Amino acid sequence: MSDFWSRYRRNYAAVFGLAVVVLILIMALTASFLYPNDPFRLIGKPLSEPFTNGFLLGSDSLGRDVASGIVHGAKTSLLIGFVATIVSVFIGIFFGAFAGYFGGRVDDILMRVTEIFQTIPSFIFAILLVAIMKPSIVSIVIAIAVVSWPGVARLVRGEFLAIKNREFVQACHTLGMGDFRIMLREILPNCLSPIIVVGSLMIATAILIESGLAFLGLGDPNIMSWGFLIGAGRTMLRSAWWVCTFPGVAILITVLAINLIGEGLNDALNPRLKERQ
Amino acid sequence: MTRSTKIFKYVGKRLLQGVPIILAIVIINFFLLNLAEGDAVDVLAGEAGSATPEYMAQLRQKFGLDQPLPIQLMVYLKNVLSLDLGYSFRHDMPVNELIFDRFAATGLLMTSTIILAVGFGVLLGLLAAMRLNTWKDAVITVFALITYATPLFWVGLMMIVVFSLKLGWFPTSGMTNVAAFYEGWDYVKDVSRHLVLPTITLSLFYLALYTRMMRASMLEQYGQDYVVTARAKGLTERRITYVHVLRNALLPVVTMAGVQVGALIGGSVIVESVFAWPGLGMLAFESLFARDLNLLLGIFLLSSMLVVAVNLIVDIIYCFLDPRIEVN
Repeated sequence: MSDFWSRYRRNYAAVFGLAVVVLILIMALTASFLYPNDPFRLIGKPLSEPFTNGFLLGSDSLGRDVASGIVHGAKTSLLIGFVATIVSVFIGIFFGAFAGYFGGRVDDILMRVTEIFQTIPSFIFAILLVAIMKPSIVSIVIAIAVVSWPGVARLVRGEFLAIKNREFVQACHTLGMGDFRIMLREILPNCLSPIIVVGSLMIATAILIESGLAFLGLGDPNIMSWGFLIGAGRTMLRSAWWVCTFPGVAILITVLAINLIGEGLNDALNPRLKERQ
Repeated sequence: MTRSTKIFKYVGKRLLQGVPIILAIVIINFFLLNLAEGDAVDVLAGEAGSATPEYMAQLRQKFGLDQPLPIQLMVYLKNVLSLDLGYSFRHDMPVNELIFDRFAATGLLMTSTIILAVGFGVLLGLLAAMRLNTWKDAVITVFALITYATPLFWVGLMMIVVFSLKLGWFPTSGMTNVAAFYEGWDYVKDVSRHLVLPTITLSLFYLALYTRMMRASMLEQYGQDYVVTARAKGLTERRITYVHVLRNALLPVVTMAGVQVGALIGGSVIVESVFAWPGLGMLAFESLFARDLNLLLGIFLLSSMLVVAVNLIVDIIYCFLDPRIEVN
């Protein structure tokens, strides 16, 4: 573990990204403490510029606090990004592990399905899924997970293919271990590092998809999110640039920080790769 | 067998491979349609304001909605194969007509985006790789990192704020100046002026992607044995880079350009709705608000087919670019 950290620490950008994400996480967790009012509440003069009328980042056309929306929206973005990634990583591991381990017919069928999901334009598919299931946190998470798992499945399949014929796996077979136990307890732990790296990058993509959906009006109507703020603010672009600008900066910083962490994890978890370059 | 007949056979085989994928997408489409609350008759009844249950049952019979699901699926397949994608009750037009009306605008946007993104991506990646670990490389890498993390719609809105509202260089939305009725060259110029901001917005993300890929690809090629051979022969670095390394480094970028077409269509939904660009993406956005599911499904189906087609075309281009690739 300390070995891991000392390798991770060498990548300054990744450490910076981690610090930023921790800050955003703290902001999200203390949201109701920082801004006790419901972010949807109208609390002041509409279209106030930043630093006026008690608004740090201005207010929108209804007098809602942009800063409060950003702080509360952080919860939504991080939560959806994280949960959707977990779900899609699980689907991906399931497909990839079975395809890679059993090979043959199973592999053919599972990979055909994966291919189909990879061909479908993912963002339009996500839009369709949310529109059909009605926008809610659950439907958004499902939609993002459904469009993001194929990459993981391919990765896991490749890892399983490479590992399944190694000596230690053959030893497990001779010991009479069952297939599922070998897959779960022996092979899977050996391909966790690339899964973690890809997963961390997927959180960033999930946040981008979520904000895009919310921008198009497909966010959960009861929950504040960054994409919603921008979508709601675009009609006042001419008179109130700040309503759209700051939530976008929040998305940019968060996604950038998570990408930096992903690269740092890659360096730290695959040290040989780094040394080769 | 000569190479050209081999390629010909390969194309045929790839075409056949595309068929099950398209079939699967049609079936997914059908189930999504059934997953949605209410059917076309509910929509019609809602539009009419009032309808008796008897009338609705009669309508269901007329549309075949009272049949069991497998039969409905067969009918749906038959319809899709004859390019009948259903009827948009909002627009009072067949879905395929609506889609073909808007197709040209999206095609224009996507073509200009691909040219810009691939062109500049290759250029920047090349530059970064040639000036490895200098300030130029650092600037390009940071630029790619940031654009890679920026939501498209936000870039679009910021472009409008800066270049349309503050500077007044480009129009904020649309494809033509509605009031002007330009013809000939003036029309072309008008459309190009409207095209600039949407194209830049849509291409930024892919530009970042291609830049990163081109840089990595160039660096990988520099480490290959043939570069050592070329140096040993006494070739200049310029010649090695432009004649030998560049060509090989381009291959993965070309593949990626094909793979990304699906994502590009998704991106165009966002960019078109930001700039009110009258293409398929804008149509999808409108149909979302009108709850026009038939139309949305039609767009989804068509864009999936487009991806299959583009992947096929890229594979074929690939065969010509790289003679080493086996076509059997």
